[in-house]
Amino acid sequence: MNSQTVIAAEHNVLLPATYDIVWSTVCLVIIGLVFWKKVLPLFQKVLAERTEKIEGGIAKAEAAQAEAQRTLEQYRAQLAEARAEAARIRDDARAEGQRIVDEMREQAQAEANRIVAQGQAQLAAQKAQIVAELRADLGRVAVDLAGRVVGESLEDEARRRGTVDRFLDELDAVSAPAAK
Amino acid sequence: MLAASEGGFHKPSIEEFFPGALLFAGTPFEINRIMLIRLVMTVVVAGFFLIAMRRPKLVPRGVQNLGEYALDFVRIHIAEEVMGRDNGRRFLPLLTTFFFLVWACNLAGVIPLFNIAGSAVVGLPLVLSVVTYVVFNYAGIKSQGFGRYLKNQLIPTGVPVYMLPLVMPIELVSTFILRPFTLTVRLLANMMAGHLMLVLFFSATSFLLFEASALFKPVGVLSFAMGFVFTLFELLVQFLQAYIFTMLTAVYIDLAMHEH
Amino acid sequence: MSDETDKTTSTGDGDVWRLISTLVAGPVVWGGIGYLVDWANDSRIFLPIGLGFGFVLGFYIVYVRHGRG
Repeated sequence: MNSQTVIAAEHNVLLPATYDIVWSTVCLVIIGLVFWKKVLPLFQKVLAERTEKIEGGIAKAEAAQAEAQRTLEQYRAQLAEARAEAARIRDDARAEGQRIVDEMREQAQAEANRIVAQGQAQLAAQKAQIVAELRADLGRVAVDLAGRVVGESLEDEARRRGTVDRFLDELDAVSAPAAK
Repeated sequence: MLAASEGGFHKPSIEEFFPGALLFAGTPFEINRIMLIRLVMTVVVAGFFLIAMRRPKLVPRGVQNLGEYALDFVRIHIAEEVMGRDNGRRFLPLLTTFFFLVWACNLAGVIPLFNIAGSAVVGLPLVLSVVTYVVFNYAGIKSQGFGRYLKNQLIPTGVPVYMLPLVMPIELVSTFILRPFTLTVRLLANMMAGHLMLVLFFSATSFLLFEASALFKPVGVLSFAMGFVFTLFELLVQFLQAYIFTMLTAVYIDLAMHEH
Repeated sequence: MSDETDKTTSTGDGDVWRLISTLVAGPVVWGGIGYLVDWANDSRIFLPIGLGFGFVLGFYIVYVRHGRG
């Protein structure tokens, strides 16, 4: 014990012996070289590869997602197109129907008009015919009547025609203002 | 510990840290127990990482996994945490070396048969602190230039000129003397104290159980239990000191490179 | 372990250590000067004065550097 305390007085724990420094440095250099030259470069390389791999995976996933997105867009576009097509067809059909109805209506109108016109024309013709017949009858009756009244034959062609015509003209003249 | 072989109560003393020479006695290459322990731990650390990263795979397995976990601790939680990604990468070899060298040497303090930390003698903490000192000054001068670096370190911005003579000595001592000094002493003192405590508990255990009267045997058991608990505590301290040493190295380099 | 740091540069976390260092250095420097003065004059008063002075100065530096934002 006594000798130990004497020796202890020679040692200062804060003052290093030369060999202490030497071997500390040796250890430091060995470990330093191992990490600096060998272990850490390998480690960094693996980390870099790993990062690259992960980033590659992410890129791949992103590409797949983009693809899916594109397909979805495409599908949506197609759907919209189909819907538009259907709507268009429906509109077309409606328009077509309308057109047909209009056409039919027009045709019917035209037919009706035609029939009416025909009827009117027929009526007019009949009226003209009746008027003509009536006029002829009236002339003859009037001449007969006159002949009988006057007792003189007015069968002389020229005279008769003149007389009858004159009468009829007068009749017309009388009736025309009334007709107007 | 020589307690068991020598007999009697072995009082822990400073001599624990100056064991006799084994080889090359008296030369600058003298090897004693502690130097040997350092060298063994150095070989273990170097060997472990060389094997772990021998053929690194993209998907790490087994020992590579463990190695990467350890390397990532220094990379993420010390280098990048303190210095940011760019400088962290730049100084990663230094910080990794420091951390694993210190931790391995610390660990020897609880490894059976070694029983003393390789960092419990001043040489290792001192050499590492000197390296830190050189590196942070070099980094500071390189990134800011000598004059600007000194000015940033010594003159706190906003201090009036007449205060400078009072303030500058403090900054000078704080930056250029206290830093390396505390870095060295913190590690050294922790490892020495840990070793002395363990020696105290276990030599007391040995003495009480095998040499003192039967009356003291329960106390010996208690002492052993304390020693065991303290060993666990020491494991924590060893890791913590390695972490703090490395982290402070990173902090000092970082502080030197930035204007404050 | 999984959380990667995103910052590319330092955040200045080290300032805390610098602060502590300064607070310690104040009393050390001026206490030391006080001790030397005591030693030269064979007095006993300058060491505590130096310690106190250095303590205050340390706080002053910390205040100047951090306290005013």
